Amino acid sequence: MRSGRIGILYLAVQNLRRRPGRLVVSALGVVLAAGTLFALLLGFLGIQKSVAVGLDRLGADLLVVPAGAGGVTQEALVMGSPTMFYMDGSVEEAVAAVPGVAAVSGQVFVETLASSACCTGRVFVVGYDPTTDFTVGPWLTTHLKRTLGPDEVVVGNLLLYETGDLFKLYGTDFAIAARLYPTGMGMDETVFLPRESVYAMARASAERAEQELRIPPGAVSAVLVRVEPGAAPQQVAAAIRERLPEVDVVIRSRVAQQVVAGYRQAIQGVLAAAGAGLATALLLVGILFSAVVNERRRELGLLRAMGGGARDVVRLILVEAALLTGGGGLVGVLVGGGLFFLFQPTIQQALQVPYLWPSAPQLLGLAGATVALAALAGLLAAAGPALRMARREPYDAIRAGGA
Amino acid sequence: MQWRNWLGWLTAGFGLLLILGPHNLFHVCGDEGHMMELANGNLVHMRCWTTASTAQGLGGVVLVLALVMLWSRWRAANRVLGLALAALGGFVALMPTYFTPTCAGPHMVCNLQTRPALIATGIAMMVAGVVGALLARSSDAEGGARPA
Repeated sequence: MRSGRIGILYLAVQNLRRRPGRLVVSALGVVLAAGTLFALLLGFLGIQKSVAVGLDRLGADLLVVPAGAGGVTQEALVMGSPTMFYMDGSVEEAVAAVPGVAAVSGQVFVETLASSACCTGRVFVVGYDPTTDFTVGPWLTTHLKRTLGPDEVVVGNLLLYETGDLFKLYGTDFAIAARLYPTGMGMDETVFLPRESVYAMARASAERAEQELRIPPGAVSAVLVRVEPGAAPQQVAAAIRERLPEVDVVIRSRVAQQVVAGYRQAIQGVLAAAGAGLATALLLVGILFSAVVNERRRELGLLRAMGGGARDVVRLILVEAALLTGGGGLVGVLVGGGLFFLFQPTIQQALQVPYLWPSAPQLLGLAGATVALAALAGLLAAAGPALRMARREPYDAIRAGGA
Repeated sequence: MQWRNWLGWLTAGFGLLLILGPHNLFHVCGDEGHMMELANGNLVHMRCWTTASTAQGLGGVVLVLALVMLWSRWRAANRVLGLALAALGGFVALMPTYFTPTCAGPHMVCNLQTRPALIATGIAMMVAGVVGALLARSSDAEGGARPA
């Protein structure tokens, strides 16, 4: 069996090619199940990466916002949904005094007016304090190597502007100093500028803008909090809530958990369908190989009579099954991955989840694991018929094989 | 008519999808009847309106191709027209990105629906066309007649 061209692999390929129609129908279920599974896992990995990168960029462990604004803040963080609310600026000092708090930085949120052009829509604007900020500040120091001027902004990666372009906010022109690298989260659609520039823009808006921007003097929308090393963010959040009952506290780790849990909930149905599809496909492969073994009793009996051992028969059938389901898995990975690649922004928008593509080694690993799983499933499905055939005496098999 | 010509029926399906899709299944931007107001007050068609029109025009061509496949008694019809379908598929796949691109905003409806759907349809047309042509070639080589 091992000499020349006619090895187990060659025989298996020739057997599969004998009935292409049956091959396609049997592999179709595996293609669908493997494709769905691969796409769902791609989604899962990408969301996890995006949340990790985005929240890391945020740099804060907690966000203190006015009571009732926790939900919209989370939406703004994850999807960049514009929002606007204010609280007294004294909250910043009060939060800084809470035990366990290492650093605080106040931010002002502004929602732009709807653009008359089709392509911009409403944009989320964040005014940060350059003296205390740990979200944009560190990036500016390492990449732009200077601080922002009062008439400059930094924009998220998804906003369609180039460095040097002018960006009009409530009638005031700002020059775009830089674009941030992608995070997959709301920051990609956010405009950052110094907090004082936001206050100045608000004051000028009464004369320059179609609609006046009203921000109470000295007000902030959120206070970003970094906790001391070793301090538990949950405990610090509880302490802040106890001291300041008029605020909500958004905990960074909980945002990540909620985003992933939301995706898990959204895909439960699809995952169940993929599981059912895979089970059905395996059942089909099992039935197919039972039929194949019955049809080819004579041929397999002759193989053994010519010196092939029982182990060779088992190997032949298992290699055929692994090729069929492994090949189906590979096509599934290509189709599922391709469709996910094309429709990723649509899925992201529909499920309201952030997304960043996993790294190349992760992608390859996931694709390899999916194909291997499909091949393994084929081996399991064909093991029964293969072992049954191997147990038959060659003479019985040839005689029972008919024509 | 070649009732059993699967490639002909599939091509007809692609043609109908391209004609009906952009305004019914995978929408282009629909603001103000696909129009956009410029700063000077003039109304112009949005870019994706051209994408949709081109897709519909190509859909018509693909439908004609399907009818030829289904009605022709020419032996090499599937082989030659399969390759034509693959070429048209390539055009459909590249169209929303290069030839008649959709609008600029990544979150606009045309980029979330029409663009990926047209690329996927184009790739499916290419695969179907090449597979159909190859199968027709091997059938011709074996002396098989066109299905009646």
